[in-house]
Amino acid sequence: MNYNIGHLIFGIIQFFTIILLAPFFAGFIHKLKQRARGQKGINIFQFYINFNKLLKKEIVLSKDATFISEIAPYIVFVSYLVILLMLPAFYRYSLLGVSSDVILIAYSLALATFFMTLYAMDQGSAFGGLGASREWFLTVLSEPSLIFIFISLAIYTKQGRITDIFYFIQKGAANAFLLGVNSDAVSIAIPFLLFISLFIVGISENARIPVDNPETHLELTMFHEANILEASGKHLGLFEYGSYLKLTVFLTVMSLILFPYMAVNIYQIPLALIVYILKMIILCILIAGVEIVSPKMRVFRVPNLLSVSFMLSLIAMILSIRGF
Amino acid sequence: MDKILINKHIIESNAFVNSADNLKGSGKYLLGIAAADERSLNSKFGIRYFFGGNNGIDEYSVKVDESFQSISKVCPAAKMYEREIYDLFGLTPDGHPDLRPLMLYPENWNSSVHPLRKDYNNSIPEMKRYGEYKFKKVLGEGIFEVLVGPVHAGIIEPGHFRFSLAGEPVLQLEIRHFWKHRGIEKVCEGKDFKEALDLVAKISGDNNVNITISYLEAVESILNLEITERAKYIRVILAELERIWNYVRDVAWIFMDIGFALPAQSLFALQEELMKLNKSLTGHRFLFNALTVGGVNFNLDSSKLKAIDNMINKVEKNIKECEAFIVNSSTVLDRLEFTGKINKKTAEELSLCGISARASGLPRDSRIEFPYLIYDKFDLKPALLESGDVFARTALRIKEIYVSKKIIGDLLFNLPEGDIAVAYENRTEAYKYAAGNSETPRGNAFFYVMADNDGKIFRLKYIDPSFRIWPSIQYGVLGNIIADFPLINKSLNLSYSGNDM
Repeated sequence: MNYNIGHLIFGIIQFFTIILLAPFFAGFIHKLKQRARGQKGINIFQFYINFNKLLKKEIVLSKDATFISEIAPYIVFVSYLVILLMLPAFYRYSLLGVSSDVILIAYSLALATFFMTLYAMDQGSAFGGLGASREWFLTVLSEPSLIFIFISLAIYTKQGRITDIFYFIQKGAANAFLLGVNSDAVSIAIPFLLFISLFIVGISENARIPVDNPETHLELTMFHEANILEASGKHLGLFEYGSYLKLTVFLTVMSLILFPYMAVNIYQIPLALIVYILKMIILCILIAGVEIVSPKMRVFRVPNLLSVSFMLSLIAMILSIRGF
Repeated sequence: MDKILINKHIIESNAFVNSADNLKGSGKYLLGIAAADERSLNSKFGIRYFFGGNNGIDEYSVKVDESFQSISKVCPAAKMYEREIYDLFGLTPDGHPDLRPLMLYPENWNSSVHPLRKDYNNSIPEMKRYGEYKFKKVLGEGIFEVLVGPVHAGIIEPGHFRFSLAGEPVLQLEIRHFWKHRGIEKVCEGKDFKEALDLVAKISGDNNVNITISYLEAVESILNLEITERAKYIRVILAELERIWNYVRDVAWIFMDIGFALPAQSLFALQEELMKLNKSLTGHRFLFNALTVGGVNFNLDSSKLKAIDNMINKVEKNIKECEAFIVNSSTVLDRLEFTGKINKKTAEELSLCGISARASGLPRDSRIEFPYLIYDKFDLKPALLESGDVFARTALRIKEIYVSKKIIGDLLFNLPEGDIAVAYENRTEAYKYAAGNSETPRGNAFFYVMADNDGKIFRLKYIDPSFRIWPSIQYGVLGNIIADFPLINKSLNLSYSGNDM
């Protein structure tokens, strides 16, 4: 496969489109929740305004902070950017498509979490340590599911790169439904299982209800927020934007499992972009729906939920090894 | 005319420890301890112990010099009162297990200055460090402390919570409150009863009607003032309206704290409507200034009565839905049940009152135990639950909203005719004193008021339910994880300002 300047340009367009859309998705979920409760709700573009405001604010660091606090926000932010460089959200040839190994994606997420928790402990506040330990409690429990999800996709399609994986599924599905060619690549069960499993992991990793409450001001109940309580100014802005990017990463992968449709040439891009945004909006509504109808769980009930996710991904793995 | 039946006893300080023990054995519980600087009368300090029980309130008064016998060992609830007396009067409770300063902080207050003594000259000691406050430490491997407050995220009042944790489970919680001591008791001295009314209403704003009722019970008893039936009815209606809006808000916050904003927001909307009703009735959303010495400040005409009637029916309907919501949702029950359990024994030892006592199976409701106004006309039964957890406290609030609704409903269209306030002369017997009590949404509010020889206040002592209940949270969190603390705290919903007046 030869890459040309067109791939580069559309790859860049795809990358910036996702990054620019990320705060919108987070804001949209927030707005939906508020409207459902009968509140007027925030401006749907509020998170862009917040980010802009935070960039202008002064950074205040604890006197106990080391260089870790200086670099961690950037590492966290860049980790998510790297993942977004790899994801074929609506265009098949993403910028880092050739090196979009699924294991790399999973552990770039872990790298970001690692540095965020280092940041939390580096500032020497008691909440930071508490938040870091809770964050790892969740991450350790959701990591096996995440790995199993990616590995079963890889086994199922016999591809290693995420761009190839979803292109393979897309082709298989197109052949099956449009041309009537009965393909082995078409299976409802595996994507269905993986989707539910990833949805649960996504809820837990993105600090949503019922695992964590992103809107709370109560430090003692926080998971994600407790890690960045001490952050201010640009650092806080990067962490916040990072969390929107992380949400977008999970939603995008879910959208690809749900209905893979990637443009392979310039003419398909408008349609693919529209399909992508539609899928994302549907997923946002789904997440908002879950957050509206459920209360936050007890902390030690969360492993039950995550073990459901693990079992589903395990079943998907077994199915994909057997070659459905 | 004594409205509350108070049996007065005079006792020697040394003998009182034994009598306190006997009293507890006989089922009485400590309502409060009030000290007064009576050196101008009989060159001694007076300490009055108030014990409540089913046949009224017993008062035991002891005359002391500079120290008195602590009863904390037989009656743990006395601990806080004795520390308070030690701080504000400088009287030493002998044998007290924990004499750290309570409200006068050694970090900035000279501990030899005692503001409630009559010879205190109203000067504030120089702002500097006079000593240190020692917290209790839990030692061991992997045990760490989490300090919360006194400045919190969110618009609430200051309170310091110090957790010793082993991972998530709480090993010990120590609270330190009294960050904004206002000295209301001292400021009230020398004011006449009506002037003090405004201060009393600001002790804890969201319970101001019930607290004011308690104050007026004491004052009107000192003044020998009988208010009209109509005024009594209106006071009860207001008191129950206040109870309803408080409980609606409390239940809403329980939902908020388990991250379930959908039902919470609908209850907040209901609270807003109740507060708008308050405003349309009395001109103030928190019902401030509705009561006065000798009656009430406003009348209820038929349109207002109709508005109240519509509102309480609406409340009942919404709360029924909310109740079904809690009972039918396993995820909600999972958060509430077995969380923040306060044992019956603990509740008894700490002399809890209000919702916190009733949720732990103690039938304590001042409306029934020491009836005031017209509460003896209703055949009230204390709403009781045994489990003592967050669920019990939430469920009780919901139950009691129905009770309050019924009380208001009974009164609305049977209002007797008459004046709403009677004129009175501000003249009293010299150094006459009286007690008043009422049931606020948080529990028993107890006033001890003593007049001087001029119709002014000589000594005013108020005991807020929050002052009694705050220590119990230290026991309620044991065996829970720290992430559930905000929920436990919200289920007790105690006042900081009432605690620290």
